[in-house]
Amino acid sequence: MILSTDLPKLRDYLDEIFLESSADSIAEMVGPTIFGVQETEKWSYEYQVEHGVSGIKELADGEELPEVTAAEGDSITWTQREFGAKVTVTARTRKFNDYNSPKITAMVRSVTEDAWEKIDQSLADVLLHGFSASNYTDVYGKSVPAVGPDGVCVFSASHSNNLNSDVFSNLIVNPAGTTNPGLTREAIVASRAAAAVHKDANGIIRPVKLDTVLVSPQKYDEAMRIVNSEGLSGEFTRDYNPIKGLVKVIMWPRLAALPDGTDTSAYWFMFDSKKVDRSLKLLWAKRPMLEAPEQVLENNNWIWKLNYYYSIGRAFPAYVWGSQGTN
Amino acid sequence: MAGPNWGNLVEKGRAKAHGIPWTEEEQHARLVLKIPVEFIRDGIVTLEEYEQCLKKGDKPVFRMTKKELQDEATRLGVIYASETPRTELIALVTRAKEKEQLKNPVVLPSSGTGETGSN
Repeated sequence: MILSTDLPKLRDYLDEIFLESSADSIAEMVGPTIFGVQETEKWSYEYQVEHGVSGIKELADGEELPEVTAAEGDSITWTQREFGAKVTVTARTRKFNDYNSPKITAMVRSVTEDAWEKIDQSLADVLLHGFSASNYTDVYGKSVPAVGPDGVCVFSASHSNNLNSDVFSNLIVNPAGTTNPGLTREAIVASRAAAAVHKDANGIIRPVKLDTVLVSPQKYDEAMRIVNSEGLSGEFTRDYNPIKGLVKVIMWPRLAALPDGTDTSAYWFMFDSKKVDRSLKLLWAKRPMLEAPEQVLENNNWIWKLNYYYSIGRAFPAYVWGSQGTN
Repeated sequence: MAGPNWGNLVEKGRAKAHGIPWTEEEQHARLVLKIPVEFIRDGIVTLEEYEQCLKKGDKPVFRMTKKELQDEATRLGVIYASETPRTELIALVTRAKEKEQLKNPVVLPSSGTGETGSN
């Protein structure tokens, strides 16, 4: 039996369970290692794309330094969403259980894992649903938009800017230029070459260094062999593998399927590990927290609340490339 | 409001309408075939269709550019601001044209004696 005087003890114990489950879940998450994580206190966060600044020029003797001018690109507003759940320890549960009863702890552990897993899946969905501009149903069951600041989906051959009519693509290609190729060494090499000569809106080459391959578990072994073999994978030559050491492979289990069960295990992605946080954002207004009841209700239920606020940002997309692996 | 700056994207022809991105086919028509966005918004996505429209010569209100709509609105005495979206201008100009036609009805040529045939 849990008495009213046991509330502080139960609170401390459930806090411990929550923190332990959170630590385990966070350690397994891949999304926050790719997305640029930042805190915000704003409900609506306006993100402005800047296409570099111009103004550097050679100076004559005694000449004033020129003013730097920003080349302002598109903007997008990301609005916070609130999520949460109640964990109720009923009067009956308290009467017939101890404070460390699995019946109570399992509820907290489960809801904590549910929160972190949904957060990670919602991040993976940004990539998996990145090939269509249509709204999609997210892991929380809500219809959410799939477009970035330029009004097209995350992975597109028609990314445009606010300054001129130039477009660029961030679709993975094979050497023939076909988009959405299957995972091959040739496609990795061709996409790295294409990204390396990415031109910004000012017409200046700003290399995107695609140094990471992101795959589902089903493609992990293949990706590791392609990238890390001493020689060329699948060939009998004694040639060497030039991308070994230049590219690393990350496995993200959530890329295997969409929340509705659609198989997406053939999808694969590449990104510039130093700059991918400029393309994909995770903005926390409040990380998941378990709040203990401050008062006992009339029905003697004790209610813990788990809630959090975050928004996902699709920003300037040049630093992450994707393929559905269909060609 | 959440999402991209749709007003700016629509204004510059980089989105089909507020909240509606171009499809791949429409992007192709816009970027590769260089068909004006007003025609693509009206479902014209091939060069053949576009050339046929040009041959016909007439330009319906909903295929006019924002500038053309503003000029037409000025001619018709419609009050608008530079911020008035193209879609609103289309509605305003269409209504003004309807009113103009009511005031100055087009007289159709006589269709004959009005006698009906007999069996």
